[in-house]
Amino acid sequence: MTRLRCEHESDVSRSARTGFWSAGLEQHAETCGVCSETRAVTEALLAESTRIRAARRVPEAARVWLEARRRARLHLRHRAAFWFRALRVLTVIYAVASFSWLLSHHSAPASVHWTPSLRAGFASVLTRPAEAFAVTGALLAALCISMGFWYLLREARQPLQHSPGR
Amino acid sequence: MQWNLELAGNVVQRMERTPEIVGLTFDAHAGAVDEADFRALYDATSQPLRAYLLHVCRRPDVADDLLQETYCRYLLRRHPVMDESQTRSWLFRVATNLLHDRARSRADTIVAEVPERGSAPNMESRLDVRTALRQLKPRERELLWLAYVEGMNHEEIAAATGLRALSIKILLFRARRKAAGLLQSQKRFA
Repeated sequence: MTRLRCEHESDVSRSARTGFWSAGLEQHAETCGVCSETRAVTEALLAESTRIRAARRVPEAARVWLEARRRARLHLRHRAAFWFRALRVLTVIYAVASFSWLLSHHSAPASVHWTPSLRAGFASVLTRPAEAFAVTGALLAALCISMGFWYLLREARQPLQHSPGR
Repeated sequence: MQWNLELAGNVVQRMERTPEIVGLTFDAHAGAVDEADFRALYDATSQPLRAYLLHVCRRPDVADDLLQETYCRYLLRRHPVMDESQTRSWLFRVATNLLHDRARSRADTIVAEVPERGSAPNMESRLDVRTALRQLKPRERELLWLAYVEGMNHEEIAAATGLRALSIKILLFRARRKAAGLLQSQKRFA
């Protein structure tokens, strides 16, 4: 039966790497099938390793460091841009909802049941001074937010004017 | 969604004025990694890691890319404090995963193998060894390299390759047997 492993295999491999062989181990490696294979393969791989290391230098550590730093910046930038993206989505939702409400408020047929009640409710709100003040404030706020969002949306259409690594 | 990056960039520039970022540290660990620490780690581990990558993927450009990617991940990801051995193991594991991702995308099969600069094609014995080792499958090359060049035990190889420790024994045996056979036949042929 073919043996999968010899108890001296790791010692043989270590000796092949370090170059220090005890007399007994070297003799064992010549007679044991597993260990002779291990020695041959280890020496071939070490020769390949030496060739690879001598052939070309690894990239500079500074280059890798700068690349990691560039990626960290991009990550921060992406995270910071999250709220802008969220605002854009909210703007679109807000605009669609407002437009739908306006359309339904002004051009819905009289047969629709909820329109008169909504009108009545809105009128009653406007008749009271405190609520009228609140509604005016809300409208002004909506106007300001819309103007701000318009600015953000306008920015979105402009091309990127600087490199991401700035 | 690359919109409005200028505004976001201003925010980042403000964040970068904070001492942690001006001091060029990556808070990837419980203790942040500064450039000197990273350079020491890189000098100690990059040569063997690149040799491993190049031996498995056989393309210097890909090996360099994967090496850079491995260290970038080390710097950017949060992971617990690791000693020297654990860090080395972690780097090999990430490098192996990157190799597998690359193999799955089949990007390497399109371009022919690029020879190493400075390699000596007239050295017949070395070429024989290389020719023999190149007939192994990438997984076999991984296992043999980790076991016999890096001196990892079965548990460490299992951690680096994502295989079960029990499978390593038989896979390593088969890979070693195949490699020994190939080396033997190359010697006879030469």
